[in-house]
Amino acid sequence: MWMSKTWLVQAFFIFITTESIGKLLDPCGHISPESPVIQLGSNFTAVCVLKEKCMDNFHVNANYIVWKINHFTVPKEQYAILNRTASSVTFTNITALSVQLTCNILTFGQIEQNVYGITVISGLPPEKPKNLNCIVYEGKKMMCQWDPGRETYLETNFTLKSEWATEKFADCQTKRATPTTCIVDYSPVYFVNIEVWVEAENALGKVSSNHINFDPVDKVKPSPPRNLSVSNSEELSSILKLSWINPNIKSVIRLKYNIQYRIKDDSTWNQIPPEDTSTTRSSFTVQDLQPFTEYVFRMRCMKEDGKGFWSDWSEEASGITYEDRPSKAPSFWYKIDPSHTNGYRSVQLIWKTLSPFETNGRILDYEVTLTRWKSRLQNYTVNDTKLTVNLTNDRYIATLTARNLVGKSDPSVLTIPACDFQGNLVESKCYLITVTPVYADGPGRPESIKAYLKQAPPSQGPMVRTKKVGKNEAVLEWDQLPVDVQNGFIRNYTIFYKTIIGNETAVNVDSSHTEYTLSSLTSDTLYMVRMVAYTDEGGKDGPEFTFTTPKFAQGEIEAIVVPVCLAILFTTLLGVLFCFNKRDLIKKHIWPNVPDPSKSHIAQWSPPTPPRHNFNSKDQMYSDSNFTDVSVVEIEPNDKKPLPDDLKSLDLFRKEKSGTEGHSSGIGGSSCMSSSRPSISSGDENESAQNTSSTVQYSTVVHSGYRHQVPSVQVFSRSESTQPLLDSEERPEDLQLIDNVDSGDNILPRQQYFKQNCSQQETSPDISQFERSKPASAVSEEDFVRHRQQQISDMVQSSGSGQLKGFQEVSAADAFGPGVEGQGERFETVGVAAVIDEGMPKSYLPQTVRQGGYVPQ
Amino acid sequence: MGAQAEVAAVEGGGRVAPRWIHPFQPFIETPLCLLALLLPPLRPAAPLSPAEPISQAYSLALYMQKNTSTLLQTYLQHQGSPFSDPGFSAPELQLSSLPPAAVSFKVWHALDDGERLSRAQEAFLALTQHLQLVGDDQSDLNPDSPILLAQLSAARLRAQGLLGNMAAIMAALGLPIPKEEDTLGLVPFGASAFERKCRGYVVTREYGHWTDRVVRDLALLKAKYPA
Repeated sequence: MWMSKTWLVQAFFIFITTESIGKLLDPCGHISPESPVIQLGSNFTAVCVLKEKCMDNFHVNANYIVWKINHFTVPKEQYAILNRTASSVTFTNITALSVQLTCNILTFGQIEQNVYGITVISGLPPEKPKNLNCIVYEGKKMMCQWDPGRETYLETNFTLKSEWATEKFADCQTKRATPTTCIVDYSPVYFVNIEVWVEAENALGKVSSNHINFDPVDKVKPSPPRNLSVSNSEELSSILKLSWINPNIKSVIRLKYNIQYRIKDDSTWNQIPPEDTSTTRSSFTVQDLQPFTEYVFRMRCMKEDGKGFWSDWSEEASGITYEDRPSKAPSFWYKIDPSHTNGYRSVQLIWKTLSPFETNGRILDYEVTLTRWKSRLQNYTVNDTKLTVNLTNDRYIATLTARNLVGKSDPSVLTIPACDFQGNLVESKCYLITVTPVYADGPGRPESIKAYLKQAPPSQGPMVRTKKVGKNEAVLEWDQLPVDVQNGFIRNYTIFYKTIIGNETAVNVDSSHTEYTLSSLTSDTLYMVRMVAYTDEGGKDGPEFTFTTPKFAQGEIEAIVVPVCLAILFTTLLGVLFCFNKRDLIKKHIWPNVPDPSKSHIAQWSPPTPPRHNFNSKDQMYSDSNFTDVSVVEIEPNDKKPLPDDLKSLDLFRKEKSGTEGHSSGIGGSSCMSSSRPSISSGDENESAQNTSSTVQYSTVVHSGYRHQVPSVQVFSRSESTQPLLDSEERPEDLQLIDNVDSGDNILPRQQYFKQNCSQQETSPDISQFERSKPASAVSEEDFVRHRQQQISDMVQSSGSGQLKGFQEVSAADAFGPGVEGQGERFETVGVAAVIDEGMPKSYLPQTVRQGGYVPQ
Repeated sequence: MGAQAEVAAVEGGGRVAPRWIHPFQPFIETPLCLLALLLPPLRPAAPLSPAEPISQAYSLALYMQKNTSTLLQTYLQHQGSPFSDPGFSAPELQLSSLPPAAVSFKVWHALDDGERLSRAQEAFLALTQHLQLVGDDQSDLNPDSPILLAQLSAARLRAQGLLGNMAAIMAALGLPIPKEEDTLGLVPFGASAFERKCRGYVVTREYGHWTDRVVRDLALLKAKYPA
């Protein structure tokens, strides 16, 4: 408000006064409003009111009022006479910030007299302050700043207000010089949220910013870390350790850091990855630095969670990494003094100092060694960068290493050639000329070239040979000529080839090739080929080589043979398929049904039945011949009988069989079960398979081995398997016994057989034992047994599940006969066999038979 | 404190109001919305989780704890003998207007969150008033000791800040906030300098003890309401 007063005073710069003396500075009228502040662009009206006394004195009224703005008369159109004493003026859209407006009267004689004057100030109301933010410098009071918005052209006051939820703080008045920042005059209290806003006010209005609410600890800008120091490590030349003192705010908040470093003469800073320095610490080791290099470091810190502000950068601190051995050998060269005396020459070795980043330290001295061919080393330690030595004319190897406090560099090696090398160059010899450039900092990359003093034609031609020969082509190959015989640069080759009768053909081949394919050759032809190598000076041909092209190309024969074979195969396959389709027909014609011998079964086993042989051998033979179509019947010439025979003989035989069943003790097991035999033989249903095929397989086994013993007796055995017969062959004593029995008393052996087998098979062990103990009553027992067996057989046949019953019976027998020891196994096996015999009459297993009945006694 | 209580009440109401929409009030909803538009904008709701104010209050208490012994030492040094004598201690001195921080562990442990907070609230309310009184006394007795005066002022301000933080916790936990009281009552303005020094000693000492206690209180709460 005092500002506007000042302007008001300024406005009274001129007065016209009334005549009255003593009333100093009494204006003749006044303008209302007296000190206006208006918004830019708005309309403004002022009113000038004259005093009655003046009007009387000057004989004027409101019509005489003239308005002036900044000394220029305002057009009459803007005036309005309100009454006799008052006149108003209106301005629209004021754009000037400050104008002087005066009210004048036109007195007698058109003289303008100033009555009153005001200054019209215009401007804008304050805008809402934006971007209010506060910062707490560590150890200082909180400072807030904001964006004041547009220019108001007016005096605008900003007031920063702050409060806690529980307490209001004193307003913070901005200073004139800094109207957009304010420093509160109380210490910030961390960890208590504070609400802060700013109010802007001027003559045209008052507006308040958005409120911000924060914890001052989240607005802290810490002091930078202090006393940053750098130390190196003798163990590791690539690290430097920084240590510092954290700012005091560390006791309140946790810190994170930025650490930057640069090589001293460099200007760009490198930053250590922030994630490595994201926790409170007071030292850090920087790695991967160059040895013996001075680094400059600086760092800053802020609250660990990133809220707040980074501190300023700390003071810079520098440190030098420890030395390392030189990283590179120095560049090395020699100069030979051309004037050499009696076998010695003066050689100056010179080298360059290493660049600072290669020395990795301070170079103390250089070490030079000189080695003559297979001779001892000569060592020199030199501080300078050159060394002059007197050497013999021999070839020397010189090495140079640079040494610093830590160690030696790798050696650089230089060969000083022998002195007596002189160019006795020979024509048509290949020389390799090498030029090594010598730059200021050492030798460059050598370049080599091959050269001849003078070329000549090769002294030998290339040896050509074939690599592969085809029907119409041949691949030729050859070796590069050895350097010794080249006598020049081989420019190209020419290949000559011809047949014996044909013309010679020449082909030129580039010298880079070692292979060439001759094409469009004739097949089955002898070719002669030779080759000439050309230098610039001429050519030389090599030996001739002959080869013959084959008649057929590779795979040609196969291409013919394979389809033919396939065709044959296919035809055969078709034929087979056809035959397979018509197999029934074919079978009927050429392949009658032949019984399978392996499915044969022994209907009657003859060896233990000598009586049968005795009394019916001929009939048997007859019937055999009569019924067998396929079996080979080997018959002694004198035993031949006419084939036709009545069926009675068979019937007789069968009757005989059934009649002698009890006496014929066939195979052990079966003898006891022989009661089943008649049923099998006579039972049509069981024998149906054989009957339908209308064949009974009889075979006559001729025991020629003991025929001489019993020449007159034909042993016919009826069998479906050859093995029992073989078995019996192996046991001639059995047959002998049988034969003996045949010839002599036939009852006793039979009884023995019976006894043996029957005792094994007997359902009642008591009986068997009884039999054993009393052989005399064997006959009656035998009958008894047979009767029993018959009964069993009947039972079996009558019931469908004869097998099971029989087995049960046998099991019962087994249970009854615990006394039979040693033979138990055999007993059981035979029993099973017998049972099987009941159910499946054909499957008489030879093994079982052997076990059951063929153990010699 | 009155202002704080009002603010808290408004905040509480502000949080509840939006949940009033009832499923059986579809026809009332529109007028409610209009009503909501007419209502003045509410202050931003206080943080729903108490973890944040607890954590903040705990940090503040820890921060205060680091400075309490310094405050006591600074205070004693400025009072002359016998206060400034090494090892000075007068535990028997108490102020009737200031609740003592000493409490048996059993009793303290048996308190629930609300009781603990309200006792601390009561104590720090008294402490802020007493620290103001001590500050006034010291500006009389030691006008040339800006460090002491600044420390007393800072301590008072922090105590006041802690009160605000505790009020925020109580609001977040839905506990009633105790009303502000004039705990100081009639102050004997005619007290002697020695009496005033003794008074200041007890206040700065109890300020330390209460800070220690509130650190434990808040640590317990912090464990109960992890962030």
